[in-house]
This record gives sequence, structure tokens and C-alpha cells, in this order.
Amino acid sequence: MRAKLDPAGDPAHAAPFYVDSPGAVSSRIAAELALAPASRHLLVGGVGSGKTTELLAIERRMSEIADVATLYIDVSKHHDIAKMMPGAIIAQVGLGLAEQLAGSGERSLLIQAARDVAYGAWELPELDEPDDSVYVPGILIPPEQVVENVQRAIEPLTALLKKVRAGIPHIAVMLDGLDRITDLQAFEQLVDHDVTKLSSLGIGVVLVGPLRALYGLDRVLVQRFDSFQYQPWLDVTKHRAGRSFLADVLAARAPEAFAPAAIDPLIAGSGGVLRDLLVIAQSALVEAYMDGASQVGEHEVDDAIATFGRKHLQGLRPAEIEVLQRVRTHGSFVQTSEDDLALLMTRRVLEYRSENQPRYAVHPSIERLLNELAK
Amino acid sequence: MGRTTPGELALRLRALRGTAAYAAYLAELADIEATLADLEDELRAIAPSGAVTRLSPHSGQQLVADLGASAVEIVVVDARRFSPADWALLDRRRSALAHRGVVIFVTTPSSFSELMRHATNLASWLGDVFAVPHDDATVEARREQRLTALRRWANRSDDEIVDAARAGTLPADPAYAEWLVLLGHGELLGHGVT
Repeated sequence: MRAKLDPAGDPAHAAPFYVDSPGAVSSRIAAELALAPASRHLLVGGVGSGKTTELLAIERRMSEIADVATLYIDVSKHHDIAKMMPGAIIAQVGLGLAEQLAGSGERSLLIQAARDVAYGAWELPELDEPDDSVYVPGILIPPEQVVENVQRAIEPLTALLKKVRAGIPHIAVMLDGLDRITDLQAFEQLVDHDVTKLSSLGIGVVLVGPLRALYGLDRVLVQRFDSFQYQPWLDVTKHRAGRSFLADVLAARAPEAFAPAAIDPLIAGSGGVLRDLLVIAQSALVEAYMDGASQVGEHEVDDAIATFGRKHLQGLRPAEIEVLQRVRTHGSFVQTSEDDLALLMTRRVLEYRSENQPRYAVHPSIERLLNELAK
Repeated sequence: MGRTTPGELALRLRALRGTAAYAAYLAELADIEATLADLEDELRAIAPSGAVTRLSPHSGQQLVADLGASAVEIVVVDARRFSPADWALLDRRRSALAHRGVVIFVTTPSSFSELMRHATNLASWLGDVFAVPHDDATVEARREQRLTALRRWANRSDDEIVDAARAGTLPADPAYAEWLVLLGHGELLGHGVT
């Protein structure tokens, strides 16, 4: 049961417990991809808002369509996204397709070509050059010339696509991991070169982007996507649907683990952040285990929220505490600096949106602690 | 920050076996080595043989490589030397830190503050975060623990040591000096004990 509440677990393993969130972005994006298989979608949301879960849900929904092949790639899994240059995403898509073909028992030179482009290989020289073979570095390893990389990455991918399309006409890729990129210019470059190229090859793309993009994204860049989807925090104090969704998540993953009286405080303490709900729920289960209790009660939930809150306050400077106190007492928050933005990125300040109107609150787990600090 | 002993933390972590859980344990720099050793001992006492290992990476990059190569279920990471740049790298490479088991970062409060500033994504995975206790009861517990070890080592009682020191027959060994100090008989150190 504790594993089902695992906040750091692979979301793919949680698929059997998937619960549709209110207005799930996965259903919207999947519907658009079904209508326009080569369309491009940017998905943005805060840490722990459930973006990967939604990405995997899109993949599941698309896999139900007969003529669409899907591919999920976490581009950060094997590479430092801070060092990624244009061409790197295309190379990873080529590699993903190649490994899928290899996994199905296919033997083809195209598979090796995709691996060579990604990781590097020794190549024979042209006829009029000396006989020594030369080592050509992989695109995923050292940064090289942008244009050259993109072109090199496209060649094996185009050939692989031809092979795949002999059986399935449409391909949609879910690209995860770029939400952790901090350099917005580097992100824009990757979109400009790689996403645009993938789309021109007729591949549907769903790209997870950084939340800070929401606060500083060039409008021209947004226009490179057919849709821009925001995965928000759930305003569990104002909207019953959000509260019901999180209660359903708990019921699907750990039925009967929580006493009925413990569920509302647990949901309220999460601030509507899915991962925080799971972290606090798992921590409350450990508290119950330490107490020798058979079910999580309000007491265990209170302890777990307090532990979470103390962690959440770590690393804050006096000026940031001041901003948090203002948000706590007046609900006012104006993002004017990188430090302000960091409060949003780290979920100390939660921004809820309803009918495009923002509402700001401090994370409920730190509210009581901030109140004590103010005395 | 809530405080808990290595033994209590080990019990909590035992409850997380079978999950992919991440925790942090904070101690002052001077206490880190002892904290790592205590926590490892406690974990080894409650987990099967070979289920606990310690990694002491010199950088975030090395942790990515070492953790990826480790299939051990409970991994204690000596993270005291991690800089903001290391935490930022671990944040970007969080997917590569996915581990089937329990990972505990043992570090200083200041390094943990850097984690919270520079590794937001990794921080969102952290469940239990506790600090080493520094209250009188724990100091007393540590004192008693050390005295027990000294008694076992010398196979002698506290009274025998005090009597030997008064008689000037206690061997000149730093362990006996430490023993006398722990017993509150530092005044006997001049009686032939160094």
C-alpha cells in the first residue's frame, strides 16, 4: 500500500490507479492529436502537478487508436539537459524508434545508424582522404555545430520513419523532462530546431516545458505550438471537483488506509498539489506504523503536515519570509524578481487560476509555522 | 526541523521498504561521520545482510553514476560536500536518480538549504526530513553507549577503572582517559593516565 502512495515512484507503474482530473489536459491533447496527428502541444505545470502522469495518459489514450504509434521519452533520463544542443531531441526520438524496433526483434542497419548518431561512431573516410578512420562524436555527448547536428539527427530518423510508417501511418511522441531546464533561451532553441523539424516530418509532439515559461515565454514561441496547456494546482478550498479528485486518488491507491476524518485535512494540507498529497499521505502512513495504529487518523496527518511544512521552510531568506507573510495575511503577490519567481517554482506560494483570475496562497503546510514566526 | 535519533529514523525507513523513497538526515559537520556510522549500524540491524550501502560521491555527477550502478536496496548518501552546483545538477538529472529502494541523503543543514533552493524537483521527492537530536537525553544516551563499548573492550567495570586510576595503576591509554572523563572523574587524569 505504501508503494502505491509512492511520490517518487515511476508514474508508469501507477497507471492502474489513474484517476481523471477535472478537465484533464490528457483528454484535450489526445483529442487534438487524434484530429491532427502531426500537431504540436506544449504542456506546462508546477513541480509535482502530475505532468508525467498526464503525458502517460495521453500515450494510453493514443494507443487505443489503431493507426497511431506512440513513443514516450524522458529526455533528461540519460543526459544533462543543461548541455543539450539542437538536434539532441531529434536524436533521442530516432534512438527511441530504433530501440522500439530492436525490441520487436527487427534487425536493420537503420537501428545502428540511429545509435551511431546519438552516441558517436568510427566512420571510414571519403575515398580521396587518408585511410585512417575518423571518430565522429555522438550528438548526445558533446555539443557541436547546431545546423550540422540537426541534419545528422534527421537522416536516420527519416529512414526509420519510412520503415515504421509501412505499418502504422501516424506517430506521436511524448517528450518529458524539459520542465527542469532553467535556461529559457536554450529551451527556445530546442523548440525552434527540434520540435519544428519533428512536426515537419509529420510527427505529433507533446512537450513538457518549464513552469517559468508561463511567466516569461515569448509569444512567438507559443505560436510554434498548436496548443498551450497549463496543468494547474487544484484549488481544493474553493472547488469541490478538485477535492473530490484527490479523494478519488487516495481511494484508488490506498482504500481504507485513512480514517474518513483524516481525508479532508490531508487534502487541505496538500494545497491541491498531487505529489505533496502523496508525500504527506505516505509520511502519515509511516506515522501510523510508528504509532502501531491500523489506520491513519487526524493525529498522524497533522504530524505529517507539520514535518512537510518544516522541510518546506528550509532555505528561505528573511526577505522571502516577509513576502510569504504578506501572501499569508493579504493574499497579495506580485512577481517582480527571480526570488519571487522561485517562491512559485518551489510551491511556497501557490497560484490558483479560476476563469483566468489568479488567487495566491502560501502552501497550507507552512501557514501555521509562518503564523508562529509572526508572533 | 523535527529531530529524531538514527534508531528511530531507521525504523521509519524500514516502514518504507518496498517503495522508492527519498529522505534526508541533517547533522552538523562535526557530527556527520558519527551520524553516518550510527545510521548505517541501525539500518544494518533491521535490514537483511547486504541490503545497506554507503555512497560518498565527491560530486553530483558521481552520485548519478554510483547510484545508477547500485542495486542495493537502502543507500545512505554522504552528501555533506555537495555544492549548489551539485544540487542543481542532481535536480536536472533527477530521472537518473530513480532507485528501487530507499535513498537517504545525510548532509549539513546549510547544504540542505542549498538543496531546497537549487533542487526543487528533487526536493519534491523527499518524504522524511529530520535532524539529529541535540537534547540532553541524547547526549546521555551517546555517553552510555560509549561507556558500554569501553567496558566491553576492557572487560572491566567503571568502579575498577576509578579504583585503578586512584591507585595510579591504570595503563597510559587515551581510551582510559576518555573513560574517566565520561564518568565525571577528569580530576584523576593526573594519576598516571594520559
